[in-house]
Amino acid sequence: MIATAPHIDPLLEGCLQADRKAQKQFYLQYYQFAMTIALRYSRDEMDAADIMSHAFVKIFKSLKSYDSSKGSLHAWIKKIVVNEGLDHIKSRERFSETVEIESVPEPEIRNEVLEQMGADEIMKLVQKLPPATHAVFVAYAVEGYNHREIAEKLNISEGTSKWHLSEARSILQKLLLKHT
Amino acid sequence: MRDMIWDRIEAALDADDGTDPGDNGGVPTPSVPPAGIITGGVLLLIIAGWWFFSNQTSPPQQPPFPLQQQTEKTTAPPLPTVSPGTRPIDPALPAQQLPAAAPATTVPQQAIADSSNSIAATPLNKTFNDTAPAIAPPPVVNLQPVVQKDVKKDSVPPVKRRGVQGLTPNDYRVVPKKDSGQKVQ
Repeated sequence: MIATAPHIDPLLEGCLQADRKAQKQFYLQYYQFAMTIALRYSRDEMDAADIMSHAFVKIFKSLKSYDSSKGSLHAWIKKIVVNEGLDHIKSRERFSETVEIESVPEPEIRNEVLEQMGADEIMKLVQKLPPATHAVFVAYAVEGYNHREIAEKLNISEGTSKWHLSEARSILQKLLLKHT
Repeated sequence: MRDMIWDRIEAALDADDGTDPGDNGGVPTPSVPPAGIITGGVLLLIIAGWWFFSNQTSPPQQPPFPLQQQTEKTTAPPLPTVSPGTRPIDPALPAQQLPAAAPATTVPQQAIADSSNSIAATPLNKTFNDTAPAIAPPPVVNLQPVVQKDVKKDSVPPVKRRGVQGLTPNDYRVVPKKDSGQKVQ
């Protein structure tokens, strides 16, 4: 059962009836929120546009299955966009199963450098990571998934997920040193 | 960027609505078969028209071949002397086409009737080896006298008689008179 804010209800009703105007209003309302998530899993805006288009088609098709008692509409949309972003990276990059590690050593990150950088600059550095490493890093450090969840979503082992996270930190550390 | 993404979403949703048989009552699908039927019908008409006109224009193309064979036969003198049984088969000059060409020429009908009796009832391709040697000489032999007679008739003018008819040389003869007594030199 859909139960959201009063001003959302008419939009959702229109979207459920495949009303194009209502769907466009819904899209415009959640565009910025979804685009911010999509950009984390993409290298540029065109990648993000691919993720967005696929995600919103999926949203409109599966809107009937949305249950407000299980979580907010934002969380539901975020989950779909994140999954679409991970699928996008999976389709673009084959994950190597040959490298696995059991423990991830914590790299030394200079906080004063991070404090001097804006969010956009940090995200640009993150986008320079290799696609698979990028996906694991964003899923772990930004979205908050653990290695088991990441391994399930990306069809990789937990050890591979840990290796990618360690690799991401190592590369970011070098990039930060170069930046300073 | 925002509008471009929406255009993509809208296109994908429209495509899904069009392919889903449960939506719209299958409205888009009937529009496809008429287009295919129309194009198929047009193609059939074009093919039928082409076939019809090609069949109409094909008969006038056949006469030049027998005519060429006829001219070759009439101008070639060694044909009657060569024995057909020992002559190798030449696909470029089939002997079976002679009877077919003969009726179109000035050959007398009796000569043609003798040679075409055996060919008229049988297909041309099957009688190529058997009938050609027996048929080939008669039209060529009979052709020459007929042509020569016509040429004489056309080239010799009718004989005209000179002078006034009914008069004889005696009517013009001058006879000296017996009373003059002088000699005529």
